[in-house]
Amino acid sequence: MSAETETPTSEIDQGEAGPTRQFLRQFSENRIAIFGLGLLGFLLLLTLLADIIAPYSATEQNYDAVLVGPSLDHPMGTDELGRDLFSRILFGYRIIFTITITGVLAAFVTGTLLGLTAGYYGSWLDEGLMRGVDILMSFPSLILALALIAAIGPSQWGIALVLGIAYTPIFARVARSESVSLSNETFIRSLEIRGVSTPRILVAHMFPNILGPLIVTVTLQLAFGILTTATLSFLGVGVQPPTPSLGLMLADGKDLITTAWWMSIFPGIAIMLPVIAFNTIGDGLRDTFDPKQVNN
Amino acid sequence: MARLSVNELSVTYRTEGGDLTAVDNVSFDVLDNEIFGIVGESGCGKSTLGDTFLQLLDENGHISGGSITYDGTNLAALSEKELAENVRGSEISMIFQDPNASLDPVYTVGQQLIETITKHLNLDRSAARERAIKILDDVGIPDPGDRIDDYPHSFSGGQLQRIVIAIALSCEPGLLIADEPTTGLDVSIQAQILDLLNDLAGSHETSIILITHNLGVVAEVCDRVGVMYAGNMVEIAPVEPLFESPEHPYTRALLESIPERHGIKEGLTVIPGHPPDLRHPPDGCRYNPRCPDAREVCQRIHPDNREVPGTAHSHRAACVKHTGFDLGYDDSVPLDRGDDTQATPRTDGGDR
Repeated sequence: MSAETETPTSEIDQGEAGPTRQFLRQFSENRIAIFGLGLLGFLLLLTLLADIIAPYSATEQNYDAVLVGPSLDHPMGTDELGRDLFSRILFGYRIIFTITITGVLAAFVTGTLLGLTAGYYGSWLDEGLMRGVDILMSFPSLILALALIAAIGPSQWGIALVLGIAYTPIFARVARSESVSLSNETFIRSLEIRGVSTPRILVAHMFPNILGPLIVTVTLQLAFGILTTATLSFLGVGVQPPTPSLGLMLADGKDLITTAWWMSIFPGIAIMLPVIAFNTIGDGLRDTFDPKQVNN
Repeated sequence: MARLSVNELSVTYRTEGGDLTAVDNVSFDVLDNEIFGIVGESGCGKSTLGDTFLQLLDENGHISGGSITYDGTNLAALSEKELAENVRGSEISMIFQDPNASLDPVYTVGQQLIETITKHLNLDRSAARERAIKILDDVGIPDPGDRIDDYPHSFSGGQLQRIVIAIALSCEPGLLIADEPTTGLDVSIQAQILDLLNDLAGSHETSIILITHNLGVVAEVCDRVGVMYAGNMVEIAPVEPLFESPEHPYTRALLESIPERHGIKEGLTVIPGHPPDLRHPPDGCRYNPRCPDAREVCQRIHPDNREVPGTAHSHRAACVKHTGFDLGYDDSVPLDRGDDTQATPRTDGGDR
């Protein structure tokens, strides 16, 4: 063990860089994750600039160009109403990203709050909250989503709400298990002993310490959220026409797949890309947060 | 003057096998600016006692009797909320064994110091920061002005324990409870931390309760010592008389168990037997099944600690052997321990 008066070492230099910079350095070494991040950035850019990039309106019908294959005029072809698929996919991204991100963030906030509180207080509060979460979790999330949509009716914010409810248990579980082990840490006990208030301990000390696994869960749930949103649309209970929806486009295309393959292939790829992006980012984050790899 | 006065305190845990009285009828005072050591082997109730002052007992534990008087207030009667508002951190602080786990890894040490200071003292951020730097300097952190913005992981274990002590003392508490503060540290750093505690007790007008199993630590810094055995405070005395002329057979046995440098080949001296199951404590003195001096009366009488007559200093012991008791202890009648298996003195490693 080193003496008290140790001279500054490289370890200390790293310390001065702060944990954030160290984290970024480690994450940036993960090429697949960086690829995912790049892909996601590209997709989000397309989404934000949809008004500029899209050559046509998402809903404008053109009966002179029905079921046209990919061409210079229509890079991804047109559908049975002559709508430009490329434009519809761009605007479809806007819808699906809005729904998924809102829903997952809602689940993140409520789930984390529930799990953090349950794990910190323990005893009957933990039992009560987590049994409720177990009940929610015992329904497959798609079935739960279908049932909830049947109750509140299909709409963009309705689906976001449904995602929020369906994914809350996952965040509650992760937050709870992390916070149970964290609340037994000496430094949390020390904070109690210093008279720091419980809300402050929960928000300012527990939350940042369990953020790592939660962020990983957020990215992975975003991937699932894209899929669930698309699935709901595919089943016809998602975003309603004529609003462009990737799932609905896929459903429209499947009847014409022998004559107009582009109507299925391009929306399918469009759904796949953000899922891949979120998954690779999530995996990269998980590798970076893994304490066993911290010093590699 | 007594800063803290513990009176007939008992702490009971509810367990599946019945109630367990981990601290049984314990009384002692901690004087102004003194370091009071509490020693005993694992499970003797010393850490439970330490947790009781700030009501940090596990859910199944509660104060089943007695009082803890600090500054005219009975801490045992306060609600958790009143404790958090008025006592914890500001009047009584506590530090633990593992300094690496005692600080939040996501904040700089400065942020954590300032959090505590602004919570309890009416200071703005820049004044709090100045105070934080001064305290870091007090506890011997070099370049406190720079290092205040470093994260805990960039400090060594000994430095971290200094910082933990700095945080504990940042609001000038009247009492610091230190539960095994040097156990995880190597010997030279242990000595530095103990010196630091010793200095700070004087300069910050803080009394310290030092909980430890290490008699060497006690000898180093404590003014007075309480020896605990099976939930009882069996002896209380100033350090020197305790080490020179222990009155309780358990204290004597503890002192004889300290490994000596030249005694390696002879093996360690151990106390035969093992501590009793506190759910079913033995009748009479709790130490009697292991005590070489036990006589018939020891199986009947459970003595509280009493002043030992003829000592210049206050020296209390809970053994009927000393003349403060007149209960018929007869050295000449050896004890017939019958079939009690615990009574057979063992020469091996005790509970191993």
